[in-house]
Formats: sequence, C-alpha cells, structure tokens
Amino acid sequence: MTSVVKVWDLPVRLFHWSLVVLIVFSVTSGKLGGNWMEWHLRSGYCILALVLFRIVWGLTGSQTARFSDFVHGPKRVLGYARSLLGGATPFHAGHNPTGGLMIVLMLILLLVQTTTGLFADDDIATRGPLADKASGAIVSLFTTIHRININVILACVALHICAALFYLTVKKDNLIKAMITGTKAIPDDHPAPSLSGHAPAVIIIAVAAAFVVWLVKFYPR
Amino acid sequence: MKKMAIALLGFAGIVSFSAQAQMKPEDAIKLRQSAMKLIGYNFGSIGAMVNDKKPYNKDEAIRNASRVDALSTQPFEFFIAGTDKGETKAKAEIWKDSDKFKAAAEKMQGEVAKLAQVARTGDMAALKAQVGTTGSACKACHDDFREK
Repeated sequence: MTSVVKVWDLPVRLFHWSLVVLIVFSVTSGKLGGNWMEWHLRSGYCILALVLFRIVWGLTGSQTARFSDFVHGPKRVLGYARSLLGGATPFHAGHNPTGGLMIVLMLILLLVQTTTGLFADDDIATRGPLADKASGAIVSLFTTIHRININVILACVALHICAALFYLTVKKDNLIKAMITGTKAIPDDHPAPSLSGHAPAVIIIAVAAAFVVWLVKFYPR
Repeated sequence: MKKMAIALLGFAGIVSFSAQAQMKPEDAIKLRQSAMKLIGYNFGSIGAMVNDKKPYNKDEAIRNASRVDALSTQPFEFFIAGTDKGETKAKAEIWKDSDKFKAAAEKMQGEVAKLAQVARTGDMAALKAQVGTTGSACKACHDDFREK
C-alpha cells in the first residue's frame, strides 16, 4: 500500500525551477552578449542568492532539504547506482544518493560560476562588480574559469535531465512531476518526511539577497 | 632617371614591407594587444556611460568613440606570420581561416564607424543600442578567434 504525501517543501521547488529559468537565461544572455550582458550579470546575482539560500536551507530546512538526508559516502552512492542498474529501485522519499551527489556538485559548480563571474572581465565592455578589487592576474584567471566552468555545468545539467528521463521511462517514477507538485506516493512502511514552515525560508532568502546586493552594489564603492 | 626613380620606389617598397616582416613576433603581439587595450578602454568608457555606471558626457563619448573608430584597423596590422605563438590568446584559426577573420574585423570596423556617428548625435538611447551591436561584433570575433 502507498499513500500520497508531501515530500518537497515549496522553497525547494521554487529554488529548483527558478534555477532552471535563470540558468537558461544566463547561458542565453551570455552567448548573445552586447546589451544582454547587463541582464546576464543580474541573472548571476539571483543565482548566487539562490545558491546561498539553498546551502543554508540544506542545514536548517525541511528533512528532505537537508544535506544530512541526501549526502552519503562513495560506498553508499555506488551501491545505490549498482542496484539501480541491476533492476531494483530502492525507495527514497527525498533525494536518492546519486541525486544527492548531483545537488552538492551543482551547488559547488554554481558557486564557482557566480563567484568567478563577479571578478570577470570580458575585455569588451562588461566587468564583474568586483573586478576592480582584484589583480589583473586574478581577473584573467577567473574569467577563464568562468568560461570553462559553464561547460561543466551544462554537462551536469544534461546528465541530470537524462537521469530524470531514465527514472521516468525505465523506472516509471515521475520525479519531474514530484518536483512540481511536491508530492510522491510513498510505501506505508516509510514515514512521511517532516517539512518546515515557509517563514524561515523567506527570512533566509531575504538575507541572502540583501548580502548579494551589498556585495555587488555597495561593497565595490 | 626614370629607371632610378622606379628602382628607388621599389627599394622603398621593400624597406617598408620588410619593416613589418622583420618586426619581432613578440613586439607585434605587444602592439596589437596594446591597440586592443586602448580600444577596450575607450569602448568601456562609453559602455559605462550608457549603462549608468558613470555620468554621461557627450564630448567624452564623442572622443571615446572617435578613438575606437580610429584605432579599429590598428590591431590587424600586427597579426603577422610567426605571431601565433608566445604570450597570446590568438587562435591558429586566424591564419587558417583568414578570410573569415578579415570579415569579422571588418564587421567590427563598420560598427565602430557607426558608433562614432551616433555618439555625435548625442542620442543616448541610440548610442546604447549601438554599443550593444558593436559589443556583439567584438564578441563574435573573440568567440571564434581568441582562446578562453
């Protein structure tokens, strides 16, 4: 027997889908260049605030949002992957061990991408707000990292989408829908995860956003 | 006398040709990078003005744009043979696909000529639009011919 319960809180879902929109927008605006670069920067600031929010939410938020719920050692991750390919689908109300690994990886890559972007200089007419604070060597190095790291991010995005489609078609498990509605059918012998209220999330995102505004607008002056 | 003049002209031609051919590759690289830096400095100044990062000043914008226009052909005199290696981000495609490189440079030169015209009108919105178009022309060439 299964019952449908809420597994993803609203902050996690909003985080996920805003990130989708912002990454698509950032890549597009960055490729277009010209006057889109102003918007590329703003989009990057939003991503930075979201990532900072997610890190704090991963320490303080709902059970399924916490790193402690989905970050596992290599043994556990490999064991899960092996049983997955062997035909079994061990149930996880929250993120499964491989998905958890992707979250950590993606958060690190996005943090690298947004931080290097703050110091980047495209040698045309766009400079990150902190480029004046760093030496030319750092600006040059960070710009190169910013240009290369996006390809690593896009490779992870591709892998992430493939994994979701693998669950959808092979495992008949619609993770995408769950990330929209927040609900999953879970076996009765599994306890429903405990979810936090929204108020702490609102405070965390507000503080993260204020920090980013300070970092890009007031600190450089 | 006429033969002498032709010989002299020919000699002058060889000298002026060899002046560039004999230039040390590292000097050529430095010169084109310096020209690019000056273009970048002046273009960046207009970019800052139209994006409200510094106050708009029509005379300064005109000066910046005219300099960009005047300098726009300069870097391309120094992509001479032997300058694909060393302290440079120049890709080998510059020499392999020189027609495309030349076309990309001419595209940029056309846009900066327009930029100089628009700057003189004092029309901020038009200037901002032209800064965007010009920046895209810079970027298109950087994307294809410059290492990350």
